[in-house]
Amino acid sequence: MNPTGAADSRPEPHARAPFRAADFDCLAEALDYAAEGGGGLNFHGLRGERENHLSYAEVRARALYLARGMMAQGLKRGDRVAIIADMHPDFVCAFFACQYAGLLAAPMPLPTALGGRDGYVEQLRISLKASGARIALGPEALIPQLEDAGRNLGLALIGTVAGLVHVNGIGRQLEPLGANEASHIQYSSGSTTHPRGILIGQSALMANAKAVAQHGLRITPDDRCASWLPFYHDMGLIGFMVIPMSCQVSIDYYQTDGFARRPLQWLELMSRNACTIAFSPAFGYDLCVRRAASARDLDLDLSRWRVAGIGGEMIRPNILNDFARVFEPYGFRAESFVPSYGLAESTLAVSVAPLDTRITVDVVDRQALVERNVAVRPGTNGNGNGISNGNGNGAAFSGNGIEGRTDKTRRLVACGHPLPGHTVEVRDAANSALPERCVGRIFVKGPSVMSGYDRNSVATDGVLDRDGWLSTGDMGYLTGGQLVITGRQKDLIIYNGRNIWPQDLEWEAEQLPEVRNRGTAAFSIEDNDGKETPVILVECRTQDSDARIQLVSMVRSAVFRKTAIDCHVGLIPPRSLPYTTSGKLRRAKAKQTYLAKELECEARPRPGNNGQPSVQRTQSLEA
Amino acid sequence: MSQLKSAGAPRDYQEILQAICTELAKANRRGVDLNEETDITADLEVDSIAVMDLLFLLEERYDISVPLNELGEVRTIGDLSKLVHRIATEG
Repeated sequence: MNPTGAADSRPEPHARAPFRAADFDCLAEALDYAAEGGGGLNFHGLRGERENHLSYAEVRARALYLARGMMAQGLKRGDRVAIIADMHPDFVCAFFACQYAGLLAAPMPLPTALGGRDGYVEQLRISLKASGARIALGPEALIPQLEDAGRNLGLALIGTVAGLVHVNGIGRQLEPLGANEASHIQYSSGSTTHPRGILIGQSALMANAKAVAQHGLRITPDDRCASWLPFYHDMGLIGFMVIPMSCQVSIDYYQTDGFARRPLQWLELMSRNACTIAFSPAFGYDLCVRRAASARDLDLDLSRWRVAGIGGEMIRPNILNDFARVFEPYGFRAESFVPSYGLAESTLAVSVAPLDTRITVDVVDRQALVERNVAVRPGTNGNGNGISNGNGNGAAFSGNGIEGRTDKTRRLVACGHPLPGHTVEVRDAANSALPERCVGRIFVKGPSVMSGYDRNSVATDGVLDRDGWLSTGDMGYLTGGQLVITGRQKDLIIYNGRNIWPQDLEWEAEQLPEVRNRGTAAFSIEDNDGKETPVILVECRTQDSDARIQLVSMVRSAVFRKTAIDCHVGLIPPRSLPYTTSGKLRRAKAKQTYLAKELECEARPRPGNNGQPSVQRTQSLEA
Repeated sequence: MSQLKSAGAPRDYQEILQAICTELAKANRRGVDLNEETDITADLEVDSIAVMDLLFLLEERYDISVPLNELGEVRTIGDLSKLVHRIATEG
């Protein structure tokens, strides 16, 4: 299982040059400096075996070589280079080659779906067009797809990184992207069909890297990072390439698709290499727990893991509790959990929870949250906007897990204070700042905020005002200066004057053993009078009519019992809910497709069928 | 998808096909006929976690690694069997 056996050698990151925590003006400067130390990148295969090692000096040398190859294609400064973000040294070296050549890298996603070739080619084509890429690079295995996607788009070159090496481009002076220029284009925002490229500036990138390294994670020369997060996502690219490299510390990579199959390899990699920092969306922790239940002879030492970061989606505290319970015998400490909040439009991180403390779970009254947009302790749903001093907390949770007690509350995870130099404001619909514990739209201002979407001023104007405030599109509140996220603004359901977070309806449905986690999507559909009807789509595997009718009724009654919302329940095939490339549920897209196709998926009596319920063959939402 | 090349292939291929069918039978609640032509995602409505679990099992059994980017053209049980067989044969 483990061909390498022994731990990978631990380089001395500051062997030759003093440690610097991401205090650089631009990325090329950071790599130049890292190349003087002993750190580097380790790439591991599906079973955890180390397949490639590159010191930062080697990354730099290859990047400089590739940079000349790129310039030989006759590109102008600031031209775009699409690179399929395979977890491979070629991607990393090509990414940094762009930095040295004065070109803007646009990392492209990898295919993920069984039978999804056509959809992937289309997705690539849309992104290639949107970015105006002049060169498209990818791994050998994906060149046919890349060629299909880039056909007739006038690209100067479509090929592998290795192929670029043979292009002769000697004699040109390299002018790396400098402090006042852009760094790259990030495509993890928006949908796959209408991707929004985010123009990441060098100054924003380095500001965020510095804030995360020095304040958020307090990175030291003794740290070592591990990651399975894809490079086409900001958490993978910036969080687990740019930032550790800018601190000269080493990184162990495990294949993203390997993680989906063998999540425990992520932990084994950390155990073997005494890694101290790793992040995952909450579902990654969930996958580990699931796999550990059936794993034999786990041999892990997670005692060095000091930052177990969580980001990228709403954080459900019970998943983290389960993870801590399962892995505490292997040295994991619940104090290592570090919830965070961020978005690609603000480079990566906006807030990071305090280190070395357990997560802060804010237990709030659900009814007050829904009806009055305030986050107050349970049992204080009386009058006024009073904020409890916390006495209600114990009472509501003494019956931990008992039905009918906890459904009056929502457990929300605090995601920390804004990073230094950054300001978070929570505003109401009229754009006025709200006091603490009032739920509203979250705005961010600071040096990490993007200058705008790439070649899309309309979209930029929609989220960024003239004073530099970024509308995140997320809803939440502040408590003690810490940010708490409650949901997405645009997905909000308004039902009989109440604000309903779709996450709530989904959460209740997903409590049923028959319903898969991340297998539901809630939204509302409006009739002609603007009246909203809540709908919840539930992925359902079985085609057995009776079972389907029963499931619909169970979901409806479970949701109604807990939220008093009578929603329309639609059954859809497994895997058919749309997600963004970064794994966020696309409720608006699910709703749009639902309406467009008029999915007849609920089991219900139909005329001409003797009043017996019938079940229509359902369509996939991902057309 | 590449075609079968080696002379000894058919026997191994049949074995792989059989193994895949056996595993998928567990998720085949609709009683769909399982053969080379069965579309794994459309006919069986297998979710992504189940696909990953199946790949995990095949990789362990045949000591192979199936690159995810090869799965884009896999639709049917036959496609998957051929892919696994090709990777196993190439070593």
